[in-house]
Amino acid sequence: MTNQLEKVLIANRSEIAVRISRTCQERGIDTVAIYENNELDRPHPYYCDEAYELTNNSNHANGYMDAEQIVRIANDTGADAIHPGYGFLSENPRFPRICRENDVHFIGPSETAINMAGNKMEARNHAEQQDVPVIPGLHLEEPSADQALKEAKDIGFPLMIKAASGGGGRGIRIAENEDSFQDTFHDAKEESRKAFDSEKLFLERFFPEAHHIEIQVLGDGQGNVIHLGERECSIQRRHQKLIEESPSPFINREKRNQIGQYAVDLMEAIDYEGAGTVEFLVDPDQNAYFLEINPRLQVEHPATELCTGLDLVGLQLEVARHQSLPLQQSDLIHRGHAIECRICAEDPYSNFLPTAGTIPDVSMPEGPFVRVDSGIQSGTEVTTRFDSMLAKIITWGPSRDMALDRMHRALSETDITGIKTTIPLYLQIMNEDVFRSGEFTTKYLENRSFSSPAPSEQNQEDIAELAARLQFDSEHQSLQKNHPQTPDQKQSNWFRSGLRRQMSGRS
Amino acid sequence: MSKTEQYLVELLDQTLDITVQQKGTNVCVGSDSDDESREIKIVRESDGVLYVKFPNRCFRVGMNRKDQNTIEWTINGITFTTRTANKLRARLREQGGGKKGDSDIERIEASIPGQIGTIMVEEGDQIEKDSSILTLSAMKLENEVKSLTAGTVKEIHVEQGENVQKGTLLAEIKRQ
Repeated sequence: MTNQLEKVLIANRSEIAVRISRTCQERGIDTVAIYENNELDRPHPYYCDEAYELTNNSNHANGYMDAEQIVRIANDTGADAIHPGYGFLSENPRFPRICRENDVHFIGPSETAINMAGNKMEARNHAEQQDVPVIPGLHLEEPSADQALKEAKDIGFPLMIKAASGGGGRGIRIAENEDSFQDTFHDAKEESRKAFDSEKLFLERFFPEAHHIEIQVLGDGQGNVIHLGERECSIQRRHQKLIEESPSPFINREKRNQIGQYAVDLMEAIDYEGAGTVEFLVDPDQNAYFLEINPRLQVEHPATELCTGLDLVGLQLEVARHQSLPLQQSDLIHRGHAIECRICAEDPYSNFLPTAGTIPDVSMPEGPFVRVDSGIQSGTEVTTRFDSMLAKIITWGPSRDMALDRMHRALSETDITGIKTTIPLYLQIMNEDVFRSGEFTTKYLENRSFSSPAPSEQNQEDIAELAARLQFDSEHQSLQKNHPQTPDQKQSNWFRSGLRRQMSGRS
Repeated sequence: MSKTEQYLVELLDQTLDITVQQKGTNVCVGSDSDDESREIKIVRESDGVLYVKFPNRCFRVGMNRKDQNTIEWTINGITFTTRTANKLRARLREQGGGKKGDSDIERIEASIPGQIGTIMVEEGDQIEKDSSILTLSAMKLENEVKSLTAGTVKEIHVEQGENVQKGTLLAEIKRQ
């Protein structure tokens, strides 16, 4: 295998497949798309030089999870590398292994790095070894109440008590203070015994109001790592990000440099290759605690690209060619402010209920300092089979206010018909005082209720009159039909559908 | 040649009285609040988007016809519906004895494909507006399906664990 990439298979779909292909095209690298059989209404197969349909295999939730099949397609078409994007196989340590065994280069970190990032305890230990602060906490094997209280005091309140055997959100209790600790501890222990037949508990400091801040890093796999600044990702629902921005309006320069150095230390110690992110929880006093490593390109990477002027996918391709980092930490310039909104097929006023349906028409924003990475086009059918994200809109400005004003303008230009999206909520957030002030935490959306906005009075009046006009037209269609300047083929759809309905006798 | 019709347009919580008049090739529309009627020109309609010229502005709006009288509009991501009735015909229908249609029944349909979780009401239950009827799981998420009106649960059409397609009739609520 030479270290020149000539053809890259993109093992992903939707906006990120299009985004990766674009950088490859710019660099004269051919791209190969994969897609499922009902995805020909999506843009990504059309943005690549080649496109192959994935065969259904009941062993996998979907074709994008079928590592063997994807590598086979890469081999058959002569691709010399695979870009995993995010999600799907991007964090599966088997994938780089299967790639290597089949002589295809995996664009991303090593199997070891992915393994470590995927194991929460191992990653936490690694952070501690590098003197990076972690959230205070510990495991208790067979705790007595006195012993537990002593540990709890060291950790600090409020704290979370969790069954060590429980997964996800199961068996989590919060003790607000010392007084309530004994009762909470007793309940948690009982519950753990009943549910998991184990008294093992995990105690961890709980931060009701915190910031989610992450550092973008880039490594060459030879021990050189730089960081490209942070992204603030505190606007979330169900612990999933909706809006991200860079830089964070919350932390100061000193804190930024400190967290950046933490991230570099963590990643240098594992010879990290490619783009990756280190996530931190930052409490109201600006104390940062390591959360996790994301060993891949992230959804929100464009916010960093707009502020640094760097193409992260391009840099991934360069280090994948075994080149050393083309720039040093001191070369980095972080300029202005960028914000990203994830446009999701969800109803923001109905508990973010996923929406589905065909999008007859899409009109995306354009104009100064607006970037759109979209995974939909007119005619795309949105299903609940995959993630609800349809597209990303990213804007840049010399100041945060300017970036936000531009985002508001860009969102107002956006028209996605046929399904509900999160756009109206984002329009409200861009003008909301707490968001504008930058003083928001991960509880932002939980703590306030936005209600569905009404259209402006002008729009209401115009649409009412328009509705009457259309009704008139369907009741008087014979007039239209005889109109000499309206030949049949130029009749609009509403007219034809009204006519069809009447002829078929439906009301 | 001139033709005039009067309509009642329901939009959000208001009902507007609107007159449409055709004079030759022009169609002019006026609200009861307006002194003058104005021309509305339909420029183009394609793929669910309507391009319209009002005297003072050009307007692009998402449009989806639900039935003969109901249109769903989308503007800046906000979706709302209009119901339009011809005033004269409505009056005639009233005089004709006022046959009650199905309009006093709220049909709750699945807005997404998914699996039915817990059913929280029984047939005959009195429920408030926004009462949870059942849960519908999709993409590992449980979504509560709520009633848009207060009334009585007339019929439940699904069972727990049942997989439903988008648009499946889940329950019918008799409005108060």
